[in-house]
Amino acid sequence: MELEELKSKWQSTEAKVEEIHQIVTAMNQVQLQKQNRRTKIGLSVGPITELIVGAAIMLAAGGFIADKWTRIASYPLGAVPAVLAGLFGWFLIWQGIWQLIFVDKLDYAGSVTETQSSLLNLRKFRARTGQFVLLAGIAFWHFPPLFFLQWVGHFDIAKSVNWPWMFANSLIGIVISSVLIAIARRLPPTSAFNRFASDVFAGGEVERAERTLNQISEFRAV
Amino acid sequence: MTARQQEFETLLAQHVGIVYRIVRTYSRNSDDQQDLAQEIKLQLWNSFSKWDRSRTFSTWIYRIALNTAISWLRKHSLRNRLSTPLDEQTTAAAPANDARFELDEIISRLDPMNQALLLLYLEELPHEEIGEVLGISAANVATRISRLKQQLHEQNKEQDSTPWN
Repeated sequence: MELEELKSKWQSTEAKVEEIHQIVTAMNQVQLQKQNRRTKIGLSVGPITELIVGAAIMLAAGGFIADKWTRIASYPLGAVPAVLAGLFGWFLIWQGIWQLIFVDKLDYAGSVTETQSSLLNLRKFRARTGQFVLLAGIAFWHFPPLFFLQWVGHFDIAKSVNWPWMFANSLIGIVISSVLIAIARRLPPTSAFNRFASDVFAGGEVERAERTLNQISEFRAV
Repeated sequence: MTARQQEFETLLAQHVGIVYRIVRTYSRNSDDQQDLAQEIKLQLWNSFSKWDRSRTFSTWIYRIALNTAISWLRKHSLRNRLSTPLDEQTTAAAPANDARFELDEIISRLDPMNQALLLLYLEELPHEEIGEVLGISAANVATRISRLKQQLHEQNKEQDSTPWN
């Protein structure tokens, strides 16, 4: 079918406007306002939670370091779990703020290429940070419980921790992460789990977003 | 109902055809169409207070509805492929009539940006307005449309040369 033929067929197909009119008008103002609130909460609830959690972790790590400063000065390695926790807290705060800025800047009334690019960048950012948190979590899983024990249980890290064992654990975690990435890249997305694995471990979501962003920039350029 | 809500409903009722055609372009079965139509209305209502009155309501509605539809499509396409059995997908997409089916088929072969471009062209919007909605220049619109024409022409030639046609 040529484009002009397509156009005349398009114009002659019966437009059942009434059908959609009913759907659109059936949604009354109360429903609209309720859904509106839900949508706004939905977009911001993740970053706000991350901001709160990040701030709590930061405060705990900072408080711990200040509290145990003399002991840390004589045994600096003892501060590693708290420093890592603090860095993770900073990371959560930073990415929470970025997401809130992205969400605030989103304008659906903007041009299609512009709005879609912003949405894809937000998606890419979320996917990237999610991937980072998960993979870092696997590699450094043993530091948070250690920090918790130091902080709450006054566990003496200098006497009780075998550092070669700690770093060997991280190494094993890095190997496990790499294997998971390799497996996830080979999984076809035929089930919800495989899709999750492909999206989170192998960065499938990031790849898809980048591909579409490229298509949009090609579309803009000509 | 406040005066603003009243104005919104009136303007929407006047332009509901735009919403309908965008919904039909980006979704096939009636559940999806209902879902997308509601999402578009919600997004229109959310943005109504920011509507720049120096611009036409139709340009504004095209932008929001297309942005919502493309995002909706991205969110739902993989989920639908995973959850809907193939025979059900085929039944859902079964043609009400051949012409409409053929039209839908041609449109669905394009990527979402070109679908938007084709839809706006079929709506007979001037190139400047298409460019304003999509965020590209009028010259770019003309080039894109001529590429679409070429693409359809090539597809036609391929179909004609296939022995079983």
